[in-house]
Amino acid sequence: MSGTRRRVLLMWCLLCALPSAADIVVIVHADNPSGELSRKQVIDLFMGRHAAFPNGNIAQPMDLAAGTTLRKQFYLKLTGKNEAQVDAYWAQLVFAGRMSPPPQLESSQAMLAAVRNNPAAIGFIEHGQTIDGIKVVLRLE
Amino acid sequence: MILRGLHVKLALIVAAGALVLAGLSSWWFYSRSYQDSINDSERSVKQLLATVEVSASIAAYVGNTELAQQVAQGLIQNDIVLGAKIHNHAQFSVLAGKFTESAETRLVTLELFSPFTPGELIGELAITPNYALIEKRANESARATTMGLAMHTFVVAFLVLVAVYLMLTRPLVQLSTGLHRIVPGEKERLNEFSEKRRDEIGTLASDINRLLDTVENMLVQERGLRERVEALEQRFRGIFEATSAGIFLLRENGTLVTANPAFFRITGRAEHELLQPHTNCISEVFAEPATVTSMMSQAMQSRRPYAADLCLAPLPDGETRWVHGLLSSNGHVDGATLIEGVIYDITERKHAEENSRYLAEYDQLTGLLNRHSGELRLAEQVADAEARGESLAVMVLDLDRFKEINDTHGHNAGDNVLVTIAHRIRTVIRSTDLVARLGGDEFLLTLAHSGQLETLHRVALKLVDVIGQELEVVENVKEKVGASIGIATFPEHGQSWKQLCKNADEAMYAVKRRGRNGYAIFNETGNHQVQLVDKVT
Repeated sequence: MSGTRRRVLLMWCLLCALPSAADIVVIVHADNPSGELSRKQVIDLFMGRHAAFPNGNIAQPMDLAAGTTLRKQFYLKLTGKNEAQVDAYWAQLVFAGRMSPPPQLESSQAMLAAVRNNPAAIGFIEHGQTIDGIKVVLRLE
Repeated sequence: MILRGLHVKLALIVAAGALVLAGLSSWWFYSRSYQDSINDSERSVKQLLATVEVSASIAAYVGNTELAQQVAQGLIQNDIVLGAKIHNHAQFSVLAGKFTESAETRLVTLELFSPFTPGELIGELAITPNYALIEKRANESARATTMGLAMHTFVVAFLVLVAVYLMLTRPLVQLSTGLHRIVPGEKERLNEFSEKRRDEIGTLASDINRLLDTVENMLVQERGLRERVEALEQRFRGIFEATSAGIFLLRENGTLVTANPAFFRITGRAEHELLQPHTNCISEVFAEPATVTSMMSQAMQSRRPYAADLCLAPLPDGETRWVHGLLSSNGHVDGATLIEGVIYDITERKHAEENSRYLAEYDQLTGLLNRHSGELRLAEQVADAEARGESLAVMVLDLDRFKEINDTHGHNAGDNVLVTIAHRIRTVIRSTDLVARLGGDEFLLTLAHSGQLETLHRVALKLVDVIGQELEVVENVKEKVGASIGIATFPEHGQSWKQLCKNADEAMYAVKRRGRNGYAIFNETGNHQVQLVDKVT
């Protein structure tokens, strides 16, 4: 299984050598012990279902400011829902109480910085950016 | 109005129909409406579930009990939801309201899927619908529908009834009672409906009135006709009853069918006596029934009337009555030929006839045959004697001294002589023998003597003797007359009565010549044997 994954990843690396604005990657702190995450696992983290990574470490999802193109792209690619739907989703949960959506960061740089500085953080950036100090756990096409 | 009245019947039928219809439709619409209502409620429950599906999915997905609680509370705000339960498989189960999970409570469930991963079953939303309420509402709704329907049915039935009553039944009942009251032929008529009522019932009323007019006219005509017939019958009956002619109707076998009073009066029989079914009227009434029977058959065969003078059978009082009868065939009644008869009482006429015949044939003074009928009778007797080969004596008798008495004592005396002598002659002569007065003092006699001349002599002598006896010509005057008798016998002295008379006459004159008061028998030689008796002084 992991051999296959690795091969797929290699394929992805070859493919990603080509510049592609559409690709988004989900990133965690480089020290995060989690390996690659499934889309479902990522959804569960971002949509507030699970508060921890599969290995049990607390996860802190980071979101971008509402209205940014990346954010729109991200949720659409991850969940198949548009930004408004996602906001409505959160609105319901917030209204019910006790839950709050991920904090919204100003920019991709702020997102990068937040992930680099917080081993529990999980965020998303456009593919192709510098990835020092972080690691990609899921690539969204 | 009686219970068999038209509109009572109609009302019963319509009411029964409405009742059955309302019952059936109520049952059908009730169950239908009830089921619809239940279905509606279940659909409402499902729709409710669908409404909250997204939120419930989110709550189940995130495991957010607050949101789940909110959704569940929201659900039980609906009165058709008793309780709600949202659970996701592992983490939580949220209850709201009276949620009971048992075999009896029919739960309505909705499977909850992850909002983000299609097909991922993450939990379940279950509610306990308020079936009691649902059923109650369904019941109410169905009952309302049914009631409405039943009311509708009854209202329509009532309207139909009223319409039928106004349009049809009432006018029909009016017509019926009106017609029932009317006696056909009277002046009374049905009340016609107004001009607006130009439908079948209006037409019926006017048609009935026209029919009544026709009936009345016919009855009036009929009555007039009947009155005329009755008057005629009265008149004919009057004639039949009052006429002096006896009118009667006979069957072929002679029994009487009917007769008028005159018939019974003429025949002198009682009605009940002759009308007996087996009494032969002909043989009862007529002296010679065979004549009448033959007249009847002739009348039937020839179809012409037959008339005859008929003698009636003698009645106990002994009077002989005569009628003139006219019989004719009266045609057939009930297969039997009838004979019609008319009789007139002609007894008086018969008596008059007999009287006039008597006058014609007899000498009024002596009661003997007169000359004419005497000669006729003589001719008959001669013919009879010739036919039988018998002998007959003819005597011509002439009185002596009659003229003398007549001249001396008058005609009355002569008449007395003649009457007395005629009487005396009759005492000598047999009743079968002939005595006629030829005129004056001359008489003609016959004597069937069977060829015995002694008898002739004896009778002649006896005659001379009795005539010669004294007689009272007028009061206290007695005279004697004599008789000269000439006798001729058949067949010896002539073949015809004239010859015989002539010869007897000749012989008589011979007696006169020889001195009177005697007799002589004719002799062809002229030498008559004259026997004189005592001379009359």
